[in-house]
Amino acid sequence: MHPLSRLGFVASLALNAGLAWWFLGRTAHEPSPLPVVRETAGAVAAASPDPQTWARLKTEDLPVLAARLRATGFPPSTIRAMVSHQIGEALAAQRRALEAEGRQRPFWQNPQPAPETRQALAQLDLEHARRYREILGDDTSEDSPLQDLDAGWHFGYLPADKAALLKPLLRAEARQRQEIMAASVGAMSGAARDRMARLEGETRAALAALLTPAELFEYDLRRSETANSLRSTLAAFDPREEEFRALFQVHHAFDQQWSPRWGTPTPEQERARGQAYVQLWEQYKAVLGPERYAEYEKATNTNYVRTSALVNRLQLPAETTEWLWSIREEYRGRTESVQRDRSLSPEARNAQFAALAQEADRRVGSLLGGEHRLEAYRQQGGAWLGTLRENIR
Amino acid sequence: MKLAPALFAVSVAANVAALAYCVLRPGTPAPASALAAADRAAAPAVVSRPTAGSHSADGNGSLWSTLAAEDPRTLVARLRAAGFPPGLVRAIVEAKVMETVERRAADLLGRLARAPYWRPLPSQPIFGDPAYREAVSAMWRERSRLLRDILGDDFFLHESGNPTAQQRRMFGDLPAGKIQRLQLINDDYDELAQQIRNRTQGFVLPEDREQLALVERERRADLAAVLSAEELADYDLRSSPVTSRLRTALTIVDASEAEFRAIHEAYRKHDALLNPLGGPLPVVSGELNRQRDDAHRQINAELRAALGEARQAELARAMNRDYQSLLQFAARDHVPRENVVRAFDLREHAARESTRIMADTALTTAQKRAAFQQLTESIEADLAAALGPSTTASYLQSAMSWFETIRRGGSFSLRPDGSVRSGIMLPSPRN
Repeated sequence: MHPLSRLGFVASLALNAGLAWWFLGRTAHEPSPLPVVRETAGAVAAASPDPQTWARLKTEDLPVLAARLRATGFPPSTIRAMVSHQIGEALAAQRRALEAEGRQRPFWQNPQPAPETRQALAQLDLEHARRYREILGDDTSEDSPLQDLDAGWHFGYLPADKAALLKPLLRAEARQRQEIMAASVGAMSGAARDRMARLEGETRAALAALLTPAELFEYDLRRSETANSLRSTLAAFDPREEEFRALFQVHHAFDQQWSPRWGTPTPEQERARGQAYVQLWEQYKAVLGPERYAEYEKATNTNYVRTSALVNRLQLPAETTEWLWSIREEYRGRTESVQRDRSLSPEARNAQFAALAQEADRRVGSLLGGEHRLEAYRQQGGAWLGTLRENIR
Repeated sequence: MKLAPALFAVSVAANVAALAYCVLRPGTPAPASALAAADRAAAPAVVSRPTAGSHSADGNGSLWSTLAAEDPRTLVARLRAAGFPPGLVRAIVEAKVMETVERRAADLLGRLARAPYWRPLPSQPIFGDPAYREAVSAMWRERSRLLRDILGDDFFLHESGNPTAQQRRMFGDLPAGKIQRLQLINDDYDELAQQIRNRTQGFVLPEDREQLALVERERRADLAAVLSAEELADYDLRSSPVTSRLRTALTIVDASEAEFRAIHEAYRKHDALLNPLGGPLPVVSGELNRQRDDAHRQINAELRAALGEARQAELARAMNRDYQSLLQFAARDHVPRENVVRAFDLREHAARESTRIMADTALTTAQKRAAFQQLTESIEADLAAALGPSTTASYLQSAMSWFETIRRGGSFSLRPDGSVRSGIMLPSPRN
């Protein structure tokens, strides 16, 4: 054999040996393939998941379970749901034992157990939440889109870093509030009310430390009891933004001094509050000016509010509320004229009242668009139509 | 040697064949030690597409990616095949469905984030945005519908195989399949009723009540198609609004079945008058109040005949919300029941005395004011003696409108149903 051919032969044999070794090595170490599933029009494919998958993942040690789930690619929302479920399973036996008493009751009685048992169940809910936080922390970054929208309304005016600090603070407050309520179960004792008042004070101090005075004011404009109440009270008045801010400022100061949420005022405090209330309306007048204050008085009249809400409900033009109000005032004036007219006989007076009532029904019914809407108005802000008829003796 | 060239040719051919196989062979899994690195690499050819919302830490090829699926039904099938128990599968799927639903609703609900802070929120029932509230309700309805479709399989029936305790209370001892059908009927009609209520913006108009009544008629017709007459009668007893309203009182007095049936019948006859469908009327005329008082008198008379005087009085007390609140305070502070009854019955004494004081023409306004002051102090002392300081404080702070009335110098009376009717107030004192 030629030397070069001999060399080529040896090299080829060496390559044979190398390839053979490689094939043998792969075969020895090759693991079973991962379960593979083809998604075909929603059907599970021929290669199904390993039925031992959960058995291998499962453990009573929930922090370890969470770690395993993270390591194997489970998304955070799924991990949260699974851990929460497993905590529930761990507490299920206790819960069933507590609820057993209520389940014995016949269907015509409440399945709700006795107060002590309800307290114990509320404590179980808190224990569930405590274990959940221990395992998964208090991270708010995975909040649902709905919670993010809510945050946008409540905290959108703040820098992002401050808003991020605010959420855990408020969550902690909500948790403590829940603990106080759980200990009370429907009947708060004086001590519980004191704890609630202290909690609110501590939260307020924490907010004041975190936010600037201007930011705290914006916070209160959105989240305080005063602001919530004003948004409803002033709805028919439709305030401009600057009016709302100014009214809020005076009313919030009043509420902070005279409207404690958890205390019980003494008779003397109630009298002082009454006097302060009169001053509050003077402040409203000063803020709004005489013309706007007159509109405010009208727009916070119960019947005006009901009328406005009904007009909104019936999707009529907003000015319909003003038309109805002016008709109401017109007929009030005309009714008083008839009542004052001593020259009328009782029969003539009754005839005039009946004519006024019929005319008012016709005009209002025409404005609202029908008899059934007229009936709705009679029930919502239009009681004066009935009063017209009650004048007829 | 002719053998050597032949062997050389065979060796070369073997090498060529081996190398060709290496290049053209189908993909095979990497060795286990390299799996994690491979998982982090390119997407495998035959692993299912991860769900849109998943945040798989190590991307395609992970365990989760072999289970995840865009279609929740496929997800359920895979989890089930992987040995996950029903409760856990339910929890996973509920979370997935909620994510999907929330993402779809987020656009609609963006208006909440844009709502001016000085105006009522869109979620407010009055002056709010009915389209917003309907969008929120639709989101929850979609979630329920999706879950019902996905989880309706027997796999998810209560793990003992039985309906839930709540369903048993509501539907009775019916077969599980029939209970599921009834639940679906109720869910569908509850959804329709909720849509009507969402439109009312807190003002229930006559046409709303007509629509709600139509929904209830149709619901009943569908239930009657599934249940026998006897089963329907049993369902009525279990699930009617009358029973719901009576439950708290029936629990307080620990009513027997015979007592429950008598009480239910007495109230059922007058339910349309006392509890109009769609909620209380916004304005109640004098005539309507008279009709209601008459109805309560008839109920009281019927129950005195059926239960006896003492038991009827016990029930009347238990129906009152002030009494229910007082019981909670008393339970908290371990006050005996007989003391609670004694304290509660002080209302009747206060009503009689307040009316007597106000009607006494021999007294001046100042003397009447002093008499009301004395009445207030004696009521407060009697309450403290019966209940102790803590329960008394809670009771006075709760909805005790009658006590506030006499404290401010006013009279009141009690209606046949035990509720308070305001009387006359003395003019405010000048300071």
